Amino acid sequence: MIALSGYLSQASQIVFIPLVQAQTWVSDRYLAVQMFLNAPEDIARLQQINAELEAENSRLKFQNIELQQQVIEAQVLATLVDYARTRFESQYVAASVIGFDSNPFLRYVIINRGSDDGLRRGMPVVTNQGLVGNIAAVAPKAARVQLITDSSAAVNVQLQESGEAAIIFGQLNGDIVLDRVPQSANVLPGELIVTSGLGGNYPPNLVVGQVTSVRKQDFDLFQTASIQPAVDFRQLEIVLVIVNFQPIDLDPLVQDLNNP
Amino acid sequence: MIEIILAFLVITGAAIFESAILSRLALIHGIADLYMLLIVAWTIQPYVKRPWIWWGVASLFSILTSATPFGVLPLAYLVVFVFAFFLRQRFWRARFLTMLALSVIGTFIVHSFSVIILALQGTFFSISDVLNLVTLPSMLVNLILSIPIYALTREMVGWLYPEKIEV
Repeated sequence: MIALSGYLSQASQIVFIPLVQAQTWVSDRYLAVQMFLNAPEDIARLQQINAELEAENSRLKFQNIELQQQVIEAQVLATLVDYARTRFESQYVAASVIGFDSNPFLRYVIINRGSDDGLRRGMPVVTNQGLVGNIAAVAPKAARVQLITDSSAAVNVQLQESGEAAIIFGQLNGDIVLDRVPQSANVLPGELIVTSGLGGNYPPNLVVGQVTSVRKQDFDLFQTASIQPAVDFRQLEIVLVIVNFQPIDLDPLVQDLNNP
Repeated sequence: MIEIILAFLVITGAAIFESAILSRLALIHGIADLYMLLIVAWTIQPYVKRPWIWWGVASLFSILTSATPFGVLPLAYLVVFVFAFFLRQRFWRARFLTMLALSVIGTFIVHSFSVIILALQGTFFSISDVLNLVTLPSMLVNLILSIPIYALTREMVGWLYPEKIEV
């Protein structure tokens, strides 16, 4: 009857609510005490897990960087292999650029292949983009390459469209200048410059760069032009050495001409 | 003996660092010259005996790692070394300032030698290009690098030649 009348629920609330609150309070305090007592163990365990995860994370990050580097290298090598396939008449040895010359007046790089790999002084060095330079000195496991941007470098070239012969010279600021172009030649910006093979230092038809601007004055003997090199020399990482090309030493002939 | 070993160890590290990293980090076209900075920093330190060892080792590595005509860099470094050796006696109270001054003067000396020899070999440069593109930026880079190199060298000298305490 009391239950049915609804008075029992009110009475039970009066009794049970404080009980539930008290029990909740006790339970919370108990859990807090239990957590406090167990905490050092948990913290030590969590710290250990955290350290393991951090180590794993560092290892994976390092691995990721290594893999990215390998992907880049593989892409570069694939491009170089494609280039080598298109020029099947030449034999190549791939080498990594491991250093640059410390003298700011010189433009040389050091590669990680040397005479043990069949490299010889004077061999041309290229990338898939174009001509890099030639080997200036060789050690058993390394070689020094003179870049075409070096101030003392000179390469016989020809303008691809007009076929006019000229010479490129390196500059102190790393640029290349096209010189000895006859006044009669029609040189236009954008024209491709390739090696001519004259002088015997480089094989013909290796891409050198593109004409960016032409300087032609009536009182000069020759025209000159600025060249945008085909190769980005600041990003030089892997190069190909043409090992079946033997440069021709013209020094004895020059000496004969000087002392007839 | 320990001086020679230390010189070889430090300058080998410097040669690798110079060739693989610093020479790629050009300011305009100026590059740091670690060999010259190490020779200067070591020479001006107090208590250092036989500072010429560092000149010798640095010269040897410069010959191996650079295409500069043979003997030019050792000769240029010798002039810088002699200069630093005499300044060490005169400015012993202001070694850090001596280091800064010598990093600038040394850059000028080494570059002058390079430009003169290359000109004798037939490669001519415009003086304004040399100064604006190469020498002044190199001086700035060397000036900045001279601070950590001086500190590092001072630590090494302190370790190699501990000060005697009078009791």
